[in-house]
Amino acid sequence: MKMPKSRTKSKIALLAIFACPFVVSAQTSAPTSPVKKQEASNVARVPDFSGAWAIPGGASYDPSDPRGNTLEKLPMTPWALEKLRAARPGFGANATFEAVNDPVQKFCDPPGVTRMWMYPWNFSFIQTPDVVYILYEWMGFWRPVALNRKHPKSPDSTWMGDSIGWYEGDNFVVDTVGFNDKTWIDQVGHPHSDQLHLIERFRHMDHDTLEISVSFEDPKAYTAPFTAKRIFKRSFAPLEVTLCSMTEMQNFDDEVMKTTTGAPKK
Amino acid sequence: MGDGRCRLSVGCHVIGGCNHLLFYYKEPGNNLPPSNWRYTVKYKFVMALVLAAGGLLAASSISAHHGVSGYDMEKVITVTGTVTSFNWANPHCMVHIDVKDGNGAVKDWIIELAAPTIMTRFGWAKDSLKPGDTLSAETHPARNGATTGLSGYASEVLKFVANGRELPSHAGPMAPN
Repeated sequence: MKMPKSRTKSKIALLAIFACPFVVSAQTSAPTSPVKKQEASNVARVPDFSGAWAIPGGASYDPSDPRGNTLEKLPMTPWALEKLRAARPGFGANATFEAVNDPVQKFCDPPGVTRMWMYPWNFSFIQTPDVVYILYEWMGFWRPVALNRKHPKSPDSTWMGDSIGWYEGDNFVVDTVGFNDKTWIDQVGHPHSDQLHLIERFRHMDHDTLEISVSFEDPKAYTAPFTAKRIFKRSFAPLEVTLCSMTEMQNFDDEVMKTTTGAPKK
Repeated sequence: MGDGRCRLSVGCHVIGGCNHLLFYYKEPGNNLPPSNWRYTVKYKFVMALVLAAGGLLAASSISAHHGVSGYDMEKVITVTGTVTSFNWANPHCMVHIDVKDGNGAVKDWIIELAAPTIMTRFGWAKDSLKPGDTLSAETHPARNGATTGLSGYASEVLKFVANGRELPSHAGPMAPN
């Protein structure tokens, strides 16, 4: 026998009344969705790289010869060897004072990512959920390291490349491609090509000591990958900026460099 | 010192704000004896923060932006005269000194120091030297005999005595580790 319409409606209403509290309860309880749980656990695992870090002056990324006393020891291709021999740096075995063709010293060109780790100024990390910004005192440079994406399929060729990063336990790993070939990797003139694939791995040796492991894979320039390390100490000096001005560089050149070079003076 | 500005002493760093608390700690790898540490404590608060001397990777005459091969880094001479200018600017702070040579002629010596940010961390400021100061400065002289010298860079500031007062100095690069 068909139920009267009014009773059907009543039953539907009763079901709704009993069902609603469960629906409401699910909507107003603490976050339990899978996405929110992942975010919470990610926040808990982010290692703390805050603070300012002091870069000691460096010379060469050759791990067997960090002072650059004997060059041409890295496993270079003929292309790279030719570039190294054409370089006239201010440091290392090929150092020159008056005939320097270092693009940073001559033109205030960007030093490039790895060479920044050799200028004796400070830097800081600014860690956000999607990007880690690395701020450098030297030349006021900074780099964004994207945390939640991959490299573009065809990255531009730029001075600093395209950096992506992630955390592995207490380490921060940065993977960079998309370099141009206009920079030296270090202060003694070792080159790199636009095929450089760079991995930088940061870790705390202790609370006030950071180690960076810099791994170079560049088949156009080097016949084998190589890795070098540098150590940074925590600094409490406020982060400042030392800019590179062409006019200041030229004045310094005219006043000091040119006087200090050339034939012996009486 | 004592004028309320941030100051850094030999091999030390300032922690905290400039105008309320100044205290110093031993920079990692700084091997200078305690007598060279200077500290100013405005409040009755003694802070002894000594970082583990982990040691820095050797810079060994790594200048800030250019090489040093034009100078004789194995040699230190002392130049004495009167400051005519002190340029607190990038890329390198520079001091001009009128120096009388053996014949009584006055020569213009140009002494190169590190960039302002680095000199600040060694304890200098833009008024550390003024025109008219009597100055006795150690320097690595130019190899070609020019009246130029290098007295300060990333890891070293040689001894300067201005008007009888010694300015902060910092020992040279350490052996690599």
